Amino acid sequence: MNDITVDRITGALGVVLASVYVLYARSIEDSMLADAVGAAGVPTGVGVMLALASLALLLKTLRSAADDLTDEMPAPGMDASGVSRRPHAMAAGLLAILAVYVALLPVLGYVPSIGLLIGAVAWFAGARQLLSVTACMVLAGPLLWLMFDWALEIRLPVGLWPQWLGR
Amino acid sequence: MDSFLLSLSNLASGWVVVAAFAGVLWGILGGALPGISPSIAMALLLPFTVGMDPTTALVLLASVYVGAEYGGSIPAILIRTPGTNSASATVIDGYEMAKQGRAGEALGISLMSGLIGGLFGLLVLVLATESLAKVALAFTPAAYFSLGILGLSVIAGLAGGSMLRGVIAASIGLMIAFIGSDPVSGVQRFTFGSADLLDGVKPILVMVGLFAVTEMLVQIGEPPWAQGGQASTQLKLPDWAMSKRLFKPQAIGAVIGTIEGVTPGAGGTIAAFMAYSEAKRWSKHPEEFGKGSPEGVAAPESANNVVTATALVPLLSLGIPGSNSAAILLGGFLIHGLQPGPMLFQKAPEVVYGLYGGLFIANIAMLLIGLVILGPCMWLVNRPKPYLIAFILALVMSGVFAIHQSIFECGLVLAIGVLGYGMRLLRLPVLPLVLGLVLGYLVESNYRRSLLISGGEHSIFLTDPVSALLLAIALVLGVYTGWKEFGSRMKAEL
Repeated sequence: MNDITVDRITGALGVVLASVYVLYARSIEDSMLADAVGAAGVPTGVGVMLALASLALLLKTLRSAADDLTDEMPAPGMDASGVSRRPHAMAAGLLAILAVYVALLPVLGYVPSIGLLIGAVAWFAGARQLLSVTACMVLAGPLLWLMFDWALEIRLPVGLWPQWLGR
Repeated sequence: MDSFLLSLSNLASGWVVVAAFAGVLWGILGGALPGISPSIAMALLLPFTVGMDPTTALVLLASVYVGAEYGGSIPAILIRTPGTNSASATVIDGYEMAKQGRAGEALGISLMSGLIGGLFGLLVLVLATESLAKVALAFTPAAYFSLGILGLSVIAGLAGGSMLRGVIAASIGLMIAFIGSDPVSGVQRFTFGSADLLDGVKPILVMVGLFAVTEMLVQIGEPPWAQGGQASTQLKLPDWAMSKRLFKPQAIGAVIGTIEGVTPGAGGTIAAFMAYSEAKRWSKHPEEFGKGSPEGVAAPESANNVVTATALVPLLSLGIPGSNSAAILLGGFLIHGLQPGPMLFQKAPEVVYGLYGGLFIANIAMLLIGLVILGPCMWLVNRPKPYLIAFILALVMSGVFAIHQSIFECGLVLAIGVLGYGMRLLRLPVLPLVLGLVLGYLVESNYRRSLLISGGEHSIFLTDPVSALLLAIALVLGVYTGWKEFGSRMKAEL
């Protein structure tokens, strides 16, 4: 993306965020202990500051907008703003794997979940040696568990295994 | 004298020594990996410091910073890939020396210059911090508010090169800081009915999300790191004749590193390039620069290691983190219930002096570990990237859970990682956000306290001389940055 497009998106998102934030801040009810500024006072000020900075960024783009209106065809694999789609798709995929890990953690417990996370991320990032990936999955969980639970004395989730095994 | 004795007593504490050596080792390995900056290497360890004694935890984190600056120069010299941003200037002559078969010599110069720079920076830190903190002790609530505004204006102006972007990022940080209880009335704000947000968003989660998770989201879409370094290279420390030749560039690096380090927002990368440029200007052999000059390695390496200590001056004395790494160290203070700033010397002097002692040990550890770490470093750099990303993320997610044993916080860190990714796409600087987050409470509580004292009169911020001075400096810096930006845009259009 070129600078003007980035500035426009940033400015527009900033204005939207600031508007929603100020509206939400104004709805905060003060308690009997509140001072003259109130719980909503400073957040409202910050929201206004964000709105002004975002508007200024948008206005800045208007000056040089005419120079930027060139109709270039996007290259293969690139979106209209010239950004490669693949890194974003990879980031989204990685995020999905991490989200699944967070969801599985209280269910499967730490050792299987972290093993699955390591295997899935390594595979997704391009590791194709099945033996190495499997070895990492199987060994990393117990090793990390030993480090946390035994060495650092941090209790990690055991999941629903005790329930499933009838303990 | 008491402070000196306190520092010395920490040299005898076993855990502080272990923390310094472990931190430097982790830092060198992390710094050697091209995708891992010093702040990310520190952020990865941050959750593990929760259960530690505060001094040990802070020495561990600060030692990572020290180690990472040397670690960054190893791939810079051997495979022309700087491990850290501040090692970029080292590539110029370091890699040229390696091509001439002098890689060991370049690494030795880097190590010794880093040691000299680190110790000089530590001296500046010890001499400057307490004096500055004593001045700040006389601050009123109005002055504290203005100090917060000054901190925000400096970073918003300097970090990222665009004032407007800095203001936007700082605003987002302030917004996150306001989540939770109102500091005066206790009313809940922006919690969206979630009990997990009642205590607000912990800075440690924001830092781990913004630095570690975001970086991995970016790294997974990027090509593999350069590999194939010379693990068999033998490190060679400079002899007496070479040491004499390197004195001038190291001194130049030390002076520039001091100035850039204490300036919030400047950092080691700018210091390293400025030191390189000045060393060339003052050298008797400027024609050798760019062709494998030892002075071209010494000056930037001395400068970026000075910054590891001098960047802590504004943090310890005023509570303002001037760099990403200082911000992570601030996170280390906060998770132990300590607030850096003038009161730190009153409330927990043993921690500050312990940190000084620990930094001294860390610099010695850097020399000792640096002599033997070359092989393991290159082994690590040559590991396939997919496995490194997988293990780093496993460490991040495990560490985040370990803080409060909270699944919610694991999800929150992912959300903050997405925010950081979005900011990266929109080219918004991260440091103003972190500063807004950590200064949010200071700014709001002192603003409201000042108005309570003055009966609602805003003139208190101008009638208090220190407050007025700080606000005037903030205004001058704001106008200067705006003018500079306007000027460079005009120049670009002509």
